[in-house]
Amino acid sequence: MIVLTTGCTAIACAKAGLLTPESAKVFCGPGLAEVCETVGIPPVLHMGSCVDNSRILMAATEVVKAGGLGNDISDVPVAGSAPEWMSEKAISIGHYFVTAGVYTIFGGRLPVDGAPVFKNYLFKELEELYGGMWDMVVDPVEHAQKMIAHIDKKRKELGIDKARERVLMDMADRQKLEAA
Amino acid sequence: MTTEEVKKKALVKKKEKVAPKPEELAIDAASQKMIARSRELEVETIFDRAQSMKPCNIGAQGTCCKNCAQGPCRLPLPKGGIEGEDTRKGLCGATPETIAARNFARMVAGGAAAHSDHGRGVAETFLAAARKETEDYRIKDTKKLLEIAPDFGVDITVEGENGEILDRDIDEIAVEVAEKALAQWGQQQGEVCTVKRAPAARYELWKKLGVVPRGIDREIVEIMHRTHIGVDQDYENIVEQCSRAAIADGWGGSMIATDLQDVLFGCPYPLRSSANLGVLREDHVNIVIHGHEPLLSEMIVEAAELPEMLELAKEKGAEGIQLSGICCTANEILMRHGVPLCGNFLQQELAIVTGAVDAMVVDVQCIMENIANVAQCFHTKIITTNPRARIASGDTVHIEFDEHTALEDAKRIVRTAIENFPNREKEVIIPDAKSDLIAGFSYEAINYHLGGTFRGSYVPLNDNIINGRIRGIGGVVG
Repeated sequence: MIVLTTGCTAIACAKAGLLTPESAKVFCGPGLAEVCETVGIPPVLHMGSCVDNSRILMAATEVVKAGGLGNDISDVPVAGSAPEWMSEKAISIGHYFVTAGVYTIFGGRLPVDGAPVFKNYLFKELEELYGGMWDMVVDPVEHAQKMIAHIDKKRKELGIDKARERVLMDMADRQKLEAA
Repeated sequence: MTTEEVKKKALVKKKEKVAPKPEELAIDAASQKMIARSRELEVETIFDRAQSMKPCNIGAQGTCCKNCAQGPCRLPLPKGGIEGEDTRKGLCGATPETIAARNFARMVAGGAAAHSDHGRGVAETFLAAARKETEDYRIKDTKKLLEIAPDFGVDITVEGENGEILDRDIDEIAVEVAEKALAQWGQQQGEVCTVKRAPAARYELWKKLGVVPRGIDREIVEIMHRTHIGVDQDYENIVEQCSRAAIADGWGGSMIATDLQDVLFGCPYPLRSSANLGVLREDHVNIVIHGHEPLLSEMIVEAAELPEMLELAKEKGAEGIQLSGICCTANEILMRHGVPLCGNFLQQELAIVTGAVDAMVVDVQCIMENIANVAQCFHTKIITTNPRARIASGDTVHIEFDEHTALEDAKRIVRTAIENFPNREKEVIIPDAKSDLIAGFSYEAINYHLGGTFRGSYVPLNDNIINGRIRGIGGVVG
């Protein structure tokens, strides 16, 4: 998974050494590591301050426009996360991610546990309206697993969930493709 | 048990409580070292306070309502959970759902207001620059200005005398964009214009759901109205208003802030820098810029590079001036100038504990009041700069920042820091920890990286997601 980051999380990623192209080889799977090496980018891309989350929205919009991954942000294999949220700003960001159609998971506690019906509305029913919804998991590994599970769900819906062999084609193969 | 015995037992219990080790409080080695140092000097930080201040259980559940004086009403979950019908109600009859939704909505309002008021400040400065009322700010990135102008309904061409299409004067475009942008805050009807940047299907969905924001300020004000005692008492309807305000933030206030900052200061492109407390330098004047807006920090970067400032620093016995940043104002000057990151939110007090910070300059948001108390244990000057954000604790200096006299204000701030350099009293201890980084990935930069100048595109990213080399995209923020 390629990660787009902003704000204090970006600073934490920087301190952990994740904002260097070299970190791709250490921390990433072979696919992403190869892309990072080819393009010369880190696997975690620092996009700016917290108002610059708008850059993430624009990047998601560009992905939709580039084609092949559905018609809307809610079709794209993307997940949002605020693992160590603390400010009211994060709640506003979370809600504009959700209304943009993004599955958005928070670490730390969201103050909704005392109202189970309301919590269910945010965590489940909003998906029917917006294609995105809230979630909350404190444990970092489980938190990440839930993001991956959502991305896999979207890949399946797009029909791109099966790993494809890389086939080297020559001209004859291409002509066959075109004829078909 | 007698009263004496109870007291004795309580005393023993208190004594048994041992403060957790720094390694248990932070994963970052630099922070661990400074937490230990703060304890050595008996300087209290958030890491100590977090041990004694436990969160309020009812607030944590979202079910404390203090929106009127009949309460505050407290509706925690019953210890054994809810059996059968949930009969909890506030004095007015508000259910836990209504109360939690109100509290949630007010957080959205607070967050959207913070981002959007930041955006308003940028728009006002942008207007002053476009009208040439200030010499300190100029339109830097005309390419981006021309890209965004149509989204504000501003023409970038004009018709010549013979019907030919001519480029429109760039200053004229800038003024009109500034006016149109600023109008998005006070607009009462219609739609916040930048919302249309969303994919067509998303925009149509919002229209169908009736959540396209009318004006940025209006949606925030309406949250405050709806959550007043006795107004909106339907949690789904409250969340609908949250959606309007949040969309007005992400696709409005925040997005316009980013747009105009890029036009004023340049769209970021990748650059190298470093991060963590180790970026502070013992033999330099250390100015740490903390907060969220780039308006002031851009000027401080400029002021700190002036020969007269370097000379003054040398005169005071320093080798030079080291700028670094905390929180998002740090990210802003990192993205555009490569100024190193001193730390994030939880390191603001720890930076001062190094004893090396000659001035911490703050603007708005996420500034802990306690930095003023920590600074009093050292020589550090806390300089507040924004009329919205002053600190009563400790002994802070206020040098107000005005976009019309920006560079002069910045020079005063830098001078104050330099003059404080000889006042360092305590031993300087800077942790030997900093990490290299590459930042500056605007969405334009990603476009360029994936395809180059002439064929910049997100298609290669999509291709790699489709072929499975990249599983997906994670937006990790906060």
